Amino acid sequence: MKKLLEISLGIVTSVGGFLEVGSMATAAQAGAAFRFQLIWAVVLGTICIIFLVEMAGRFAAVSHHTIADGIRERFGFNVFLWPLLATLLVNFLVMSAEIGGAAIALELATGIGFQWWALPVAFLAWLFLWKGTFGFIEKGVSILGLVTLCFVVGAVMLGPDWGQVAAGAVPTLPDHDAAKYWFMAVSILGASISPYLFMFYSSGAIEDQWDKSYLGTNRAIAGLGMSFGGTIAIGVLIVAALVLAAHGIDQVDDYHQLPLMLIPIFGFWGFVLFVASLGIACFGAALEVGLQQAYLVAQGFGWTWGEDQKPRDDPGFSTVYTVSLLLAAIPIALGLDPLRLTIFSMALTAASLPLSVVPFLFLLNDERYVGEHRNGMISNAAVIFIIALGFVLAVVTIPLQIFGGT
Amino acid sequence: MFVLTACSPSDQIEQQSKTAASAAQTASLVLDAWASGAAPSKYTSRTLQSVGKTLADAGAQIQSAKSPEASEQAGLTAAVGQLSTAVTRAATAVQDGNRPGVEQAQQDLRAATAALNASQSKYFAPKP
Repeated sequence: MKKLLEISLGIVTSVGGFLEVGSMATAAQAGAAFRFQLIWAVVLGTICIIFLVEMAGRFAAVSHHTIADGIRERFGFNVFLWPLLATLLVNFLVMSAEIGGAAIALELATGIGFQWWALPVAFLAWLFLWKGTFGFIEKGVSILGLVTLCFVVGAVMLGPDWGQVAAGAVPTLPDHDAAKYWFMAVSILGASISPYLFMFYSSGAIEDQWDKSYLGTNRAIAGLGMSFGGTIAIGVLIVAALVLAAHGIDQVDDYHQLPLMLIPIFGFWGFVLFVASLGIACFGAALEVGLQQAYLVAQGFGWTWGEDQKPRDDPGFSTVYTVSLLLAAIPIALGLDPLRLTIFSMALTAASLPLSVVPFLFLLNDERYVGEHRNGMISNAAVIFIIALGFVLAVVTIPLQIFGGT
Repeated sequence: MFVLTACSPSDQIEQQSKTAASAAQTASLVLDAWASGAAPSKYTSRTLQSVGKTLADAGAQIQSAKSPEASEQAGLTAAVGQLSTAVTRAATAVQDGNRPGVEQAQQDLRAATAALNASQSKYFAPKP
């Protein structure tokens, strides 16, 4: 019964934590520009993240190491430095985009420009991290994030042709704007297969003191939680296709356009639901990425770490999230367009994937860490596929950014 | 970095006229939402201001493209200019809570959208 409760809570946490500004913005742009044609990218990204999250959780539960710990210990600090720097940079951009998303939600709610909200949002996030516990951050904020289910409700209420929706799950070539189509696909994959998600998950497993008895729980949370999360992203895409594209809005390059997805469905409450979804999802993600920055640096340098410890007991850990949040708020406070930053950071996330995913192949096959729970043929095939996909994305992202970016 | 790279003046004009058409539909949808009480005034006004900027940029880019079809290009520029004017009027009317002014701006917006569609058809029609 306790395990069932933990699985349910874990799934709820994954669902609430899946959708953030990246998946919301990329799905909205894709739905508006290509209707259901890019659903396959969300499905592919979700399948990839299910595998990576399951492996990250299994690695932590069996070896009692986080992924970052494992990379440093197994390959040495010099090798660890490259994924560390790449992930820190990508996380920084993502955190900035999430702060921007929360600031936009506040602008929509108050009419006061988003720039003015960047530092207050960062301060509030810092306060949560300084005073809160891991359970509070992980579960409290993520449960509030369930408000994003309004996109799924909206999609069902709009009554799409489910045959066409299913057809969108099969990759097809675009009949217009090919560069933009592939750039959107890359951005969706970047938003879905975000390194912070699986690295945060492995740190969370250590914080929650998982052991081998959690392997089943881990599998259920990774599979069901991420699937439901992907379903919400598909909900956003469907709503964008049936509301924005249907009204002739095929270019979403301004965040003011985003609430228009829900207003025709729910009226004024659609506006409220959108603001709440964006604000909660982005704030939650900013907390998680902030924590992830601190985990990464503290684990990389072998410092004491843990969100449940008092800041004075892990000063390095607390300093990293404090400085990260402050720095990430600056571009938004200076007026950088959060939507453009989001799309750019999602594409860069995709490009950085090989550095963070290649170590999985070694760590999850190393008996010293995972013993009999090492990867089977399917998991290894999935990792190799994701690595290959990551290399392709790394090569094509910059040209697509130039020719198809918004 | 974020700018969509166009290959030729014709591509640039096509892209910018699509952007203008999409922006006009955004203005129309947000005005409908405001009129039905579903969108707050501050949000509507800011959205219209943002759409106005997009239209002004699109108009400037269409005008600066070195297209051989000068008269059709001028027609597109004029249509986007009409859209921009209608959106600016709508933003002011929303700020002032002036419903008749918003209704008038909606009508102007519809007329300007029709003019843009006609100009697009003329510009992109197959040439002999």
